[in-house]
Amino acid sequence: MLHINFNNVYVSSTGTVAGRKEKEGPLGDLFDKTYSDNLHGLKSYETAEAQMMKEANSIALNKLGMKLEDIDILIAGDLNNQIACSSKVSGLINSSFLGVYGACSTSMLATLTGSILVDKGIANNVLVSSTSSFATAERQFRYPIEYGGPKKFTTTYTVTGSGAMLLKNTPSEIKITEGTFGQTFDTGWTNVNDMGSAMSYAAYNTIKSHLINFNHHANYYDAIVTGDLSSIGSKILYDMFKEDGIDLNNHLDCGNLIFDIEKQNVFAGGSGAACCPLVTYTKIFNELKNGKYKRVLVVATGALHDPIYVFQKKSIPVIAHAVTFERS
Amino acid sequence: MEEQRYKNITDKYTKSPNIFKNYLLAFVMGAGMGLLGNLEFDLLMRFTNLERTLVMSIISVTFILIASLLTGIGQYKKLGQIFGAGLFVPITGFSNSMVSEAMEFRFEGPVYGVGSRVFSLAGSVITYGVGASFIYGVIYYILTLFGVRM
Repeated sequence: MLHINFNNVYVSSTGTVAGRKEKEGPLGDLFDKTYSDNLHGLKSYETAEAQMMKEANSIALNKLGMKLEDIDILIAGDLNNQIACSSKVSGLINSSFLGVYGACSTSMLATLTGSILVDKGIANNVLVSSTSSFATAERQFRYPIEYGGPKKFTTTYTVTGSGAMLLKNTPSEIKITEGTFGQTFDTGWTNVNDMGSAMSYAAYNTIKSHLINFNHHANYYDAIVTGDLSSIGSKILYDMFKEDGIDLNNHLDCGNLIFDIEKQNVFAGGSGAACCPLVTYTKIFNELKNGKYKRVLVVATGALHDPIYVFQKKSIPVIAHAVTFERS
Repeated sequence: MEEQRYKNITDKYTKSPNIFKNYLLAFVMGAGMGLLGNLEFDLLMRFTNLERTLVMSIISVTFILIASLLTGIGQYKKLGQIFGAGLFVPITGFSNSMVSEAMEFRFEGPVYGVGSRVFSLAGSVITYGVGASFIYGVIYYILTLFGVRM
C-alpha cells in the first residue's frame, strides 16, 4: 500500500448536512443543517441529494467568508452511477473538478488526493465532498423503498447527508499528517446484505499496513475510527486484531455512532459515503478541538459493489483508505 | 490463510439468530391469510349468487387491494419485515412488488419510469408462470392422448 506523510495540510473548515433520521440520531444537534423531509420539497431524491452536496459545500466555504469561485478544485464522489450527483454539483462551480469513486470510502479517498495537492503546493484551496442518500442508494443497489421483502439483521442503513471539508496550507486547529491509500481485496464475498462484515477485512489490512509502515502501535492514536463497518463488522475487526495480540480498545465506528442502533430501526447500523464524513467532521473533530483527542486515524471503508456484477455471480471487492488527523 | 482466519471470525457473527421465529411468524401469517380468504369465500357463497370461480377471483383481488393500499401508505414494508415469507409468497408479495416499483420510479415519468419498471421484480413470476403453464399444458395434452381426463 502507498503511505504518505503530509507536512503542510490543514482542515480549514467543514460543512455537514443531514437528513431526518440522522437528525433524530445521537449526533443530530452537531450537523450544520438538517432536513425534516428527505425530499426537501424537490422533484426527486436525486435532486435532493445534489441539493445536500451543494449546501454542504457552501456551508464549509461560508464559515470562512469564501465563495464557490474561490476554490481551486473540487474533489467529490457519491454512490450514484457515474457519480451523477457530484458531476451535477461540479457544474455549478467555476473551478476544476476531480470526481472520485470509492463507494463509502470516498470521503477519505478524496481527502488523501486533496492533501497531496495542498502539501505539494499545487493547490491552495481544495474542497473535498462526499454524499449519500438512503433513497437513491436503495434504488441503486437494492430494492424499491416500499418493497416488503424482509431485510437481514446484517443489513446497514444508508446515511442521508453530505460532508464537505476545505483543505488549505494555512495552519488551523486540525492538521492532516499521514495517509494510506488502501488496497482492494476480493475475498469472494457475495452477500449483498452484509457489507459491514465484507469491509472489515479491508479495514483490518489498511490499519495493519498503516501501523507497520509508520511504526506506530495502535495506542498511538486516541481513536481509530472506521467508516461504516456497523456493529457486526466492528466485532470482526476487533477479533482480527485480538488474534494478532493487539487490543483495539480505541476503535470507534461511524456506522455505530450516527444512529441509535437500539431505537432507530437501522439493523446493524449506518453506512454510505456520508456516514464517515458526517461523524468525523462533527463528533471526532470536536473531540480533537476540545482536547479530548490528540490524534485519530480515520479509516473510511468501501464495498465496491455493483449489482450487475453480483447478478453475474461475481464477488464484491472491498477497500479502505486511512487518514491521520491531529490537533495542531 | 489470512482470508480463512477472517472467514472463520465472520461466520461466528453472521449466523441468523432466529430462524425458528421467522418460520413461525411466516406460518402464522400464511395461515391467517388462508383463514381470512376462506371466511370471505364462505360469506360470498352464502350471501351472494356469484359463481364459485368468480368468488375465488374476488378473494385474490381483495388481498391484492389490501397489499397495494398498505404499500401505498408505507405500512407494508413494516409488516413484511415481521412476517417475511408469510406475506412475500402469497399474492400479496406480488402486489407489493409491483406497487413499490411503480412508486419508486414515479420520478422518471409514466413511460421510462412507472410503465417500464413496474414489472421489474414481478416480471420473473410472470415469465416463469407463463412458461410453467405451457409445460403443464403440453403434459396434460399428452396424457389426454392416453385417455386421462381431469
